Amino acid sequence: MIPIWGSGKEALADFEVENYVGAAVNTGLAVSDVFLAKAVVSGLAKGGLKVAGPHVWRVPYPEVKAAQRRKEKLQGARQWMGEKGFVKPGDHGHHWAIPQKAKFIPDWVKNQPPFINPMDAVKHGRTHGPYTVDGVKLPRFNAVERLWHATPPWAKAGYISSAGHGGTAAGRAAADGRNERRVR
Amino acid sequence: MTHPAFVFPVIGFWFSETYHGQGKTNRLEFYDDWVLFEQASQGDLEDERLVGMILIDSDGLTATIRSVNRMGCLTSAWKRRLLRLTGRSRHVFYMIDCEFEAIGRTAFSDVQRRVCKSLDENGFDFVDEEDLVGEQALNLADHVARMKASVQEARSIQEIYDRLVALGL
Repeated sequence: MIPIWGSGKEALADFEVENYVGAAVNTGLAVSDVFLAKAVVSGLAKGGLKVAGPHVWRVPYPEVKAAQRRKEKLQGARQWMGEKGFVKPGDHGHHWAIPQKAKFIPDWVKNQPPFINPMDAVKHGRTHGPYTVDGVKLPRFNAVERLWHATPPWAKAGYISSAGHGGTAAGRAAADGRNERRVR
Repeated sequence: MTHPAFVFPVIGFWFSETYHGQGKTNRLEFYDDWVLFEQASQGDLEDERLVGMILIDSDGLTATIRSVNRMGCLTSAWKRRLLRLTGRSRHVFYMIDCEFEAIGRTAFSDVQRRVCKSLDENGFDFVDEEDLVGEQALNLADHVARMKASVQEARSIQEIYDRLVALGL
């Protein structure tokens, strides 16, 4: 099924046969496809992936200065994402899918925008453990909260989209198996 | 370019409204010689890092940069094209001419105070955010306090630099 177009068409077809549940599901899928497409397009517009090195999270200041003397501008991944607008000033860049401490994954993979979820300090803190704000110790997020807050918007839309499309494909295959006809 | 009679190293405090990254005020820069006053990247020029920078040398001589003029491009033509094609024109380097203005002298205790103020405002620059979270989280305020205590113990700008580098600059 073609994202957005296919779900939208299915939703219209469901309305026509008064299958309102199916229409709602397909409308939701179309919306999740829009979010996914928007996240991909805006990510590309901001600069896509960091192609040129260095890919380390932060370059130590003495190395930055030494590079300037060689007429090179060294930017770590964190600074690059700040300049490109992936992470707003003051926000944290959370390593979402691949932990920063995972040494077996190279920096040029894990320090890329798709794997970094910008979040405020409190949410980031509570994703990893208890977090103290103004002397008040806030508990760690539970598994559902962690999944929701720590996952970047494109991946959330991707989860919903792929799960929904998978479900509708399975439903259509089952209907075809029973030789049911539906309006397209 | 008329140079002030700086004794290096020199510490700089810069302020920029156009900087795209983290904090925009009272950020630190260190200079060992004149080289980095004579060349700058397009990104640094766009961010206006140099104009308005307060510079204090190892003897307390204080100056500011009134203006910066581009004198010519230092990046080779093919590399410049490559950088532009890949959306990295901020990495092109230019020869520059800075116009300095002496603004008196600053006591070393005032330099330390300014550095501490900068650390308060930009402490986030000195740590990775992943170090600030989790069971073994580093407390940013404690880390900044450690850095400030270390700066207060320093006896020269070189020592301030060495101590900050040791603590994560």
